[in-house]
Order: sequence, then C-alpha cells, then structure tokens
Amino acid sequence: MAKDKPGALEIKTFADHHVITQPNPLQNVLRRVAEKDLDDPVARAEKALAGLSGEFKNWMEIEADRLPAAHAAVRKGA
Amino acid sequence: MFRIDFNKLRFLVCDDNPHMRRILRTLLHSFGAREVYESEDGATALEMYSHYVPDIVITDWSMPIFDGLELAQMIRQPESKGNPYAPIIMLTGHSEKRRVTVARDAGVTEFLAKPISAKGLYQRILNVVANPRPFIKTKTYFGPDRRRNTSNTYIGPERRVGGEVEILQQPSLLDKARSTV
Repeated sequence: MAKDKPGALEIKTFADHHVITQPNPLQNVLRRVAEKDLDDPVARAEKALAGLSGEFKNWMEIEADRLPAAHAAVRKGA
Repeated sequence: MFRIDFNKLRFLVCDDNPHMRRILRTLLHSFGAREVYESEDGATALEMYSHYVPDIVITDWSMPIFDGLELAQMIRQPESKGNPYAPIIMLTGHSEKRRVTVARDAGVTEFLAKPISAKGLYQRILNVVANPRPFIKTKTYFGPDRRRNTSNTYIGPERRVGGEVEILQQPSLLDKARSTV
C-alpha cells in the first residue's frame, strides 16, 4: 500500500498538556478528480446493502432464536 | 472534486455480531476498500491491530473479553505496539450524550450511532482522512483534540493551563487542495 511513512511529530508543551501534531499519513489517499471522473461510493454501498436485504429476515430469525437461549442461560446461572 | 482511494486504506472492523460485520464489510468493499480485517472480540482486535497496523479502526462498543472502549484506551497508550494515533470510529446502539462523552474521553475519534447508513460511515471516514485533529496529551488523557471547534467568543473556564492554547491545526486537506486551484 503506497502511503508515506509518518514524519516527525511536532510537540508543543504547555503547563499541563502537550499538543501533538503528526503529519497526516493518510493524505495520499485523498485526491482531486475531475467532476466527470467522480463516482458515487455511497450510492454503490447503498445498492450493495439493498442486495443484502433479502437476508435480513433470516438474520432476525437467528437473533430471535439466540435471545431466549441467552435468557435461559442467564436465569440458570442466577 | 475529491475522492478517497479506499483501495489504499486498511481497515480493522471489530464487532461480535457477524451480521454487523457483514454489513460493514459490504459497505467498505463497496466504497472500494480491499483490505478489511475482522475481529469478534476486543482481545483478537488488539492482536490484529498490532499485527496488521490498520489505517482506520471501526469498532462496536459492546464486545466480549474487553469492549470497544477498553480497546480504544489500549490503542491510545502512547507506548503501545502499533500506531496510537490511528483514527478510531466507534459504532453503538447507544447515542446518549453521556455515552458519547465517555467514548470521546477514551480517545475515540468519531462516533456513529446504529443503525448506520452508508452516507454516515462514508462521512466519518472522509472526516478522519481529510480533517485529522491534533492529539492532546495530559496526565489523564491521550487522544484526538476533544475540541472540535474553537470560538473567539467563548467566555467559560479555560480548563487547559498555560495561557492561550495555540492549537497546531493541520490545514484541512480539502482546503489545502482548493487553495492550489
């Protein structure tokens, strides 16, 4: 992964605290693009989540099954 | 216009619920991320954090062994293995102010209440990439500057001793990029 190694920290000391500024090691992942090249990662992610929505019912059933089992375990231990 | 190259970022996702991890993985992959590591408890998360040195940590609050809060506190130990300055985004179903304050004081960088949205997660990631905050170290705290804004009209008590604090604010990358136009 092409990222700069973090540079030297800049530390400013006060009576009861220090302010530490480090060069941003993530600056290279942010880049300028032309508007025509701009994509929409949020829309892509929302679409992918919509694709998962068919599984939500099954997930809720799994969680609903786990809950009474957990409750029973707690009551047994109490 | 600006874009994040997610394929250059390494994420660590920590949540004991496999469905939540699946949702986060789906979102991050859709954003373009290729390296997404997952853990289901705080202990594994800490081990993976030291081993993989992720760029961004996304953690749930409630997890077995030790929770997201304890994970954040351990990551923020200045002498810890790994990078104590890594951004930590905390997810939780609890959004009361007290909880947000506790997370903030543990060194969490961003807070996101469940149910999360793609837009909310993207904005938190954009914020930690483009607007990193300086870190503050005191006897009782080490983490991102808890002051998000400075106000010239503030008239309350000054809790930091040492006169007027000059925060060495890194210019926002977005502002810096705009100024080069």
